[in-house]
Amino acid sequence: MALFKKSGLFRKKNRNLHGEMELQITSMADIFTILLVFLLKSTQTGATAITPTAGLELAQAARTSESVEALKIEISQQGVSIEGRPVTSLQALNVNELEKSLGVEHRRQEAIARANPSVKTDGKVIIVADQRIPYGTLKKILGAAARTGFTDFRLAVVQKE
Amino acid sequence: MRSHGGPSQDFELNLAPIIDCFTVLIAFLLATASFLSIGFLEAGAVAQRAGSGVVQEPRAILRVRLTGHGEAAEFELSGKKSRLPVAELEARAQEWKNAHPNLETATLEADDAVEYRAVVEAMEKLRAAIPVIQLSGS
Repeated sequence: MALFKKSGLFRKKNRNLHGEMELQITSMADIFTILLVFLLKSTQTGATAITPTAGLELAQAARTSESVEALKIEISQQGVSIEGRPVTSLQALNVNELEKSLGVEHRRQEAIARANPSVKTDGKVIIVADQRIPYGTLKKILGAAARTGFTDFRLAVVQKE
Repeated sequence: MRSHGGPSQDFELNLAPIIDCFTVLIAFLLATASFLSIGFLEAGAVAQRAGSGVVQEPRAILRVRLTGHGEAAEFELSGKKSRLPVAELEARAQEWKNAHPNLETATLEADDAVEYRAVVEAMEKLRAAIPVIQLSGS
């Protein structure tokens, strides 16, 4: 109790003559402010914030480049999705369906670029793939993307320390 | 602080509502925070244009192919073919770059059974010396 009195956590206010204890929350506010600033700094924002779905294991790499805003293709053990929309399963990979969906996305990007000259269609695509996927499957998906005009791949990886 | 003859202006900021807000904000941020640091590896494609059916292959001097389960690599540089363990790829890439300063592009391919993880590892090793890596599916 003496420690509390000394540190001032439960400091008895001098002017309080009724013997009431008051929690000193100034230090708590300081701690919360620091925590808040740290969390806000470490929070990802923007269109490129990548949140892999449950069970998806990303490969690791140390030398990575800066993030870009681009179409996101996610390849998990279960299937392939474009911008979070499932397109085909991985067991019965339907490349035609994938090409069709990617073609729609590419035409949509071109339409946006025509309407807004500041937007460019640069063929960038972010690949968020499970590290256990065999290359044989991956190359079919990358081939479909390349055939529809997405030739500049950005492979999402977990940055090594 | 007391003004001359006036009432006391000693006041305390009420921190309780601020603490309430902070608690809610911190709980929300902790629940939604992703502590994974995601980076990106750049890779081009040995592209096929829609409709043409023709593979437009870039003028790549170095070709690397991962074989088996990704533990070995076959490479072709200036017409010379050889084989090496993937663990030596980074050191050899540096040697190739020193021997051929104009070597800017490497084409990386892999057997169908090789896991994507091995491809990323090989890409990273090659990128230590060669700036542009293109993935091939042939």
